[in-house]
Amino acid sequence: MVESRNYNVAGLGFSIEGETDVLELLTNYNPFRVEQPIEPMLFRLVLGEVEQDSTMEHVFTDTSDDDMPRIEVYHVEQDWQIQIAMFKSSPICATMRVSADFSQVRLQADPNAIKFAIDNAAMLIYAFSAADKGVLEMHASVTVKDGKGFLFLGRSGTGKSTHSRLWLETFKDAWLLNDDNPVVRLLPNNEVRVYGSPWSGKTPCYINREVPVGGIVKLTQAPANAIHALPLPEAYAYMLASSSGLKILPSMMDALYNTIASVIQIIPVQGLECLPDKEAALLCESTVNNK
Amino acid sequence: MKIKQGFKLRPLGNEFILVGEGLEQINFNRMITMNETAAYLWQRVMDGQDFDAQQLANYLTEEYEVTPEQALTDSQATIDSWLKAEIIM
Repeated sequence: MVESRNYNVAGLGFSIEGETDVLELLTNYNPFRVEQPIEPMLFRLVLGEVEQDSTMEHVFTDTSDDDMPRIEVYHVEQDWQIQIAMFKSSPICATMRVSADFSQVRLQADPNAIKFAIDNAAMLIYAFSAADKGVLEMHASVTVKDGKGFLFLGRSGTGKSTHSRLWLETFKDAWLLNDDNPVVRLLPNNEVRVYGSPWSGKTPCYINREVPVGGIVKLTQAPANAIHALPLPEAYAYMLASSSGLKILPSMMDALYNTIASVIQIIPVQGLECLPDKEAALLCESTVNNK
Repeated sequence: MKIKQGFKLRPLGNEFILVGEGLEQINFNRMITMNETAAYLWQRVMDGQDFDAQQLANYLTEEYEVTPEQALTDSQATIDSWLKAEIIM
């Protein structure tokens, strides 16, 4: 049986349509499921066949890290065709045809990679279609303390998750909102809020809650703990590198720039050079958590 | 001299940053900060026109109260730093 399910992530809607037994695999989306479609509706993702088109024109390849998926982006007529591979050098396992405005998505995936394909397709298209709404889909770990969310950024392997874990061990009232892909929104009143999402990397942490952002911290491994506020250009560079988007598209870069430039002037970004120890968590919390 | 394609000048706080955006500069992983004067000069030449230090000096004297000699010295320094940053050719 084919059905369509509606979701609400960070106050923005999308739907996924496919066979019920496939949709049943998407347990990470359950906390975000809603009966009726909500406005604004970002996109509708339909599972089905995608034809290979001979007029496809390759635009670019996105390979950030060896252990991250590889994305191939093509133009087909007015649409996008996006192919996904699990790793940098593995074969393509999913193809999607996406309308120019990212609102309509058709996704075809290898049967053994269907969950991987839906998660990655939904994450990408969520970021692309929400960018012009003051939304940043970030690569970060988020821990909540005193009702505020603290975002830890850094390249893969720098210890974002480890630093969150150190906060959870050090502060008994702290809790993990998301470990890999939270959504940050700049609201019209200049409030910056962070939201849980159905995407959280290797940590199953799919929490449908939102809190104001208390701090943003860029982590670097170092032989000693130290923290300092980053100059705006550095803060901008790290925030942009940590935000998903189709960065070859001028209109999307304009949107990301508008959001990030505002966010980093509302919430100063701190640079934390740290060891993976409790003292790092104490130093970081005492600096960023202005009670 | 000519600017390389694929850069975008963006205001940030009291400064400007020049970022590699677009396919031509997709692997440009640095960010150039510019003060208001450098940003003004970049905007004058970002249409891709050919320019030299004398041309930039003329742009400077049009906009700022500066002697032609000082403008030429500043323009040469600007070109040197832009060459070093690999944002012009």
